[in-house]
Parts: sequence; structure tokens; C-alpha cells
Amino acid sequence: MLSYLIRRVAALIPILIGVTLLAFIVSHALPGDPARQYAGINASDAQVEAIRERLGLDRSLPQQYCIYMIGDTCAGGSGKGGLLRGDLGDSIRTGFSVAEDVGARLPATLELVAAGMLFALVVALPLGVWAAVRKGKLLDKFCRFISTLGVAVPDFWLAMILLLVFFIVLQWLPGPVGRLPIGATLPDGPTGLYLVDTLVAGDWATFWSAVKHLLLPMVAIGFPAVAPILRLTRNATLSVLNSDYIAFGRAAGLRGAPLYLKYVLRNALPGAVTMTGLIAGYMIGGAVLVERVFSWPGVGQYGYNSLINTDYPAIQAYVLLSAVTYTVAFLIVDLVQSVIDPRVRLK
Amino acid sequence: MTTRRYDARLVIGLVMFGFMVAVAVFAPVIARNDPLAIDMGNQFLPPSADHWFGTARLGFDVFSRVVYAARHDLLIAVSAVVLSIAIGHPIGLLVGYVGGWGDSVTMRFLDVIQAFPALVLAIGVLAALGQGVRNLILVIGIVGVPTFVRLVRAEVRSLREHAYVEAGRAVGNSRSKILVRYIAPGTVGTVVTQAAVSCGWAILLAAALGFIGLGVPLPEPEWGAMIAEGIPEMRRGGSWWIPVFPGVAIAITVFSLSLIGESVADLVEPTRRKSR
Repeated sequence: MLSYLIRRVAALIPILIGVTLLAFIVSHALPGDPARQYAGINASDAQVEAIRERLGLDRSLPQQYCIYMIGDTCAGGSGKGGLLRGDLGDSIRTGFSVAEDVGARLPATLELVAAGMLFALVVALPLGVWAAVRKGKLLDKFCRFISTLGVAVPDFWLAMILLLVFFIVLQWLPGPVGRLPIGATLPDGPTGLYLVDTLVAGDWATFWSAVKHLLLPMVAIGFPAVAPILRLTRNATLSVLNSDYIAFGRAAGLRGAPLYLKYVLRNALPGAVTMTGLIAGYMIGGAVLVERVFSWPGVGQYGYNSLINTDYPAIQAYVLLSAVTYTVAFLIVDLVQSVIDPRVRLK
Repeated sequence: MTTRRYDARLVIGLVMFGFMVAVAVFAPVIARNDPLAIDMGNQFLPPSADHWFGTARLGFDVFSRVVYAARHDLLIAVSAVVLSIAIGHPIGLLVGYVGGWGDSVTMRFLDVIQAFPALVLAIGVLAALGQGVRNLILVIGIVGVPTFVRLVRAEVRSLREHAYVEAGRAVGNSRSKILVRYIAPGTVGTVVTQAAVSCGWAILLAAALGFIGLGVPLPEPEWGAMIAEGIPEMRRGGSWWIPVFPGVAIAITVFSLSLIGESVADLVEPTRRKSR
């Protein structure tokens, strides 16, 4: 197991280096001049040049990449900064360190994605088991329809429909203003996850408000994930149902909920959890569209705004974060599977 | 297992997709107005006999725009998938058959590309290249390449062990002839299946890029951009028809493509049918 783990992590290193290189190339290929943008419209050419020099943008691209990766050792400095020392650089747009900026927005995205995946699991798991049990019946067909439709509906459009129904027409839930009403005091907690922080502080009113703001984005993020999880659970359940140990369980007199919950679902679960992990890994960076619809102050929006403002360090950090969460999700899923099914390790 | 001549899903999928293609092709006949015609006196009208899907800002006729947008979205999606296949299929054949260091290098390269969520990569590259239909096709096509390389490569690696391929080798065919005449035809089925699925996925990606403002430049009609435009109008004046109908068009198109993809997958790979 340990050697498998080491092999897998070692295989990640060249991929991650490639990822930083690609992120660097893409961000530096963007049209627009960050030095001029930073200097403002009225800046003289000399001022722009001074800023360019200060940001290190006057150096050659390979040198800039080297500085980005291993710090100012590349430029003959004393050895400060650089990605390998955990320094993502400073944002050109906000002036803060990128790590701080991203750190401030990450909990919003995490809360959204976690809630969305929870929603997807709660809907897809029971439905998947049920559809398998009622294979070929109306319910099974309905689930097939839902899962085919689920992949066909864009998440940002679903987000809009939810807003239309629950905010504009029914007025049950708040509009797209982010995580809390505009002007609300933000909960001050250690995690930055509003649901957790308000719960710990016992602030029920804010907790409830945060829940109401989270509901619609949660469904919009989670719904597209229902289809693959549902399908996977159904097929896994089917194969479990045909197995000898379920036949034995039936022969031994097990019926109904205990049989399905304890024996069937447990064996169909790993596949579903795997799929959820992969989708969650994707969503950390990919939630940008739903975040935009709901003005959700997450990393997706931050990445997009950085992109528009050619803020190199911030774009690189966003792209890197997306790629790393996605890759690490894959790794974790592989490891979990190798624990469940040791044959995986041999491949 | 029942033996049916044809699959209802395939028929429904083909009819629905055929309908959307017909809408795109005959857009000038079907649309009742010029999609770019400005009519300031008739802004934000709800659906009516005159304007089936209502009107938007500047008096744009939403129905005509949804119809004309089919041209952009289908053209982008289909061209992008053709591009993905044109690049991905030969590479997959080659690295799958030849193997060796070329295979390893290619796969590591694909690992890097696929480490990015497709949407994030597409947003970045498109922002660097600039807006426009040609760049959209290029970006969506390239983002789709790794899927086809992996698919074809896996297929080739299993096909090359088959007895008929060995027989072909035994009677003295050259390696290139084995690849082209014996192995390549066996990969077509999976590629066609994936093409249908990828096409739906390409439409979603094109719409997502349009939604974020990096797609077909305004005021040209495009489904994703129309939804983006419509959301503020919907919040301001309740004109739900502006963003709702383009989304329905996306859903119908992608839904039909998934139906086609699923049923073709069952045709190509009959063992899949058992689990239905």
C-alpha cells in the first residue's frame, strides 16, 4: 500500500509542474498589459515602465517563470518567495497576497460545493437503489429520464430557473445577493463556513439566513451531479442484487429495509462516493457560472475577475487551485479504491 | 433480453436532433423577424401571437434569436467535435499501436491538460486567443482531444491482441497496413458513440463560455449569451421569457444527443444492454 501511495504521489509531480507551466503560459498570453492597468489611465510611460520593472514584468518569460516557481534566487536575490516556498505572489489588482485573497474566498466555494454534493447524494443514492430494485418499472424509467435530462440542462440555466420560481414568483427564498443579505454583519468564525461558524456561535438568526441563501445555489450545483451518481448507484446495486450473498440473505429471511440498507447500499456506496469526490474536485474551480448567477463570493468569481484584469499571479493561483483540487480528488479516489479493491494497485 | 429491431431512444433522439438541425438550416424561413432587428417601441413584451417567445431589450424578437442561435451553437459544437476527432483519432491509433516512449510522453501531456477542469482551461485559453466563432471552435475542439485519444488508444490496445490481427500479421501485412485496415475500422464504433456525447458536451461548453461573455460576440444570437443577457432583465422586470427559451433549446439539443449516444453505445457494445 505504501509503495503504491508513493508511486502515485511521485507520478503527480511532473503533472503538477506541467500544470504550473501551462497556467503561466496561458496567463501571460492574455491580451492586455497588467503594468498599464495597475498604473491607471493617466500614468506616463515612464511610470508604467517603473511599475513594470517593480512587478518584474520586464524580464524574459523563462526568467519570470523561474522567479514564480523558486523565488528571487533566479534574479540573484537572497532567496525569498516562489511557489515552491509556498508563496503565490501578490495580486496586481488588489495588492494583497494571492494566498490571502484566495483563502478569504475558498470557504464560500467549499460551503457551496459541499452542500451541493450532499444534496446530490441525498437525492441520488436512495433513488438509485430504488430504481435498481424496481428495474424496468416506471420508477426506473423515470430515473433514467431524469439522469439523461440532468446532463442536458446547463447548471447556470437551472440556477436562473430556480431564481425565477423561488425568488421572483413565490418569493420564498432570497435573491442572488451572495451568502447573506446585503449589509449583514458577517459571522466571524474560524472556518469561514457560515453554517458552521454561526452554529458554533449559537447565532440562529444568521444561521437560518445563511441556509436560505445557500439553498438555491446548492441545488444548481448539485443537480448535474445527481445523474452520474444515480446511474452508478443503480448499476452497482443491480450487480449486488444478483450476487450470491444477497440470495443467501434472502434465503436467511432478510427482507425490506434492513436488507437494502445494510447489505445492498453498503456495497453500492463506494462507487457513488468516488463519483461524488471527482465531481467535487472539478467543482472547486468549475463553480464559476453558478457563483456568477448568485453573486456568490467564491474562488470562481475571483478567478474570472482576475482573468479580465490580467492579474497574472491571481490567475495562476486560480488555475492552479482548480487543477490541484481536481488532480488530488483523483488521487484520493484512486487510493480509496485501492483500499476497497487491492487489485487496483497492480495496474 | 428482448430483441427489438430498433431502439426507441435512438428514434426519438434522431428526430429531436434532426428537428434542431432543420431549425438551424432553415432559420431564415422559420424565424419571423430579423434576429438583429431593433424595435424600440416593442421592448420586453411577453410572449404573444406576434412574438411567440416575447421580445427583449431593444425589441429583439426572442423566437427569431433562439432560432438563429441554433446555427451558431450547432456549427460550433459539430465543428469542434470534428476537430477533436481529426486530431485525437490518429494520435490515439498511433500511440496505442506503436506504444513506447511516444506513448508515455503523449499520455503525460494529456494528464497535464486533463488536470484542468475543462471549463477553466477553456476560459483561460479563450481569453488569451480572443472572442469569435473560429476561436471558440478551436478551443472547444482542443479541450475535447484527450477524450478521443484515450478512447481510441484503449480500443487499439485491446484490438491488436485479437486473433484476426495476428492472422493479418502472419500473412505478411506491413505494420501500417495492419493499423489502417485491421485495427482502425474497429475503433469507429466507440468514436461515433463518443462523438454524439461530446457534441452535447460541446454545446454546453459553448453556451457556458457564451454565458460568461467569452462566446460569440454580441449582438449575434447565441443561447448561452442570451441567458446571461436575460437574467438581469428577468430580475428587473420579471421578463422570464428572455432567459428561459434559449435554455430550453440547449436542453432539447443536448438531451437528444445523449439519447443518441446511449442507444448507439448499446448497439456497438451489446453486453452493455444486459444491465438495462
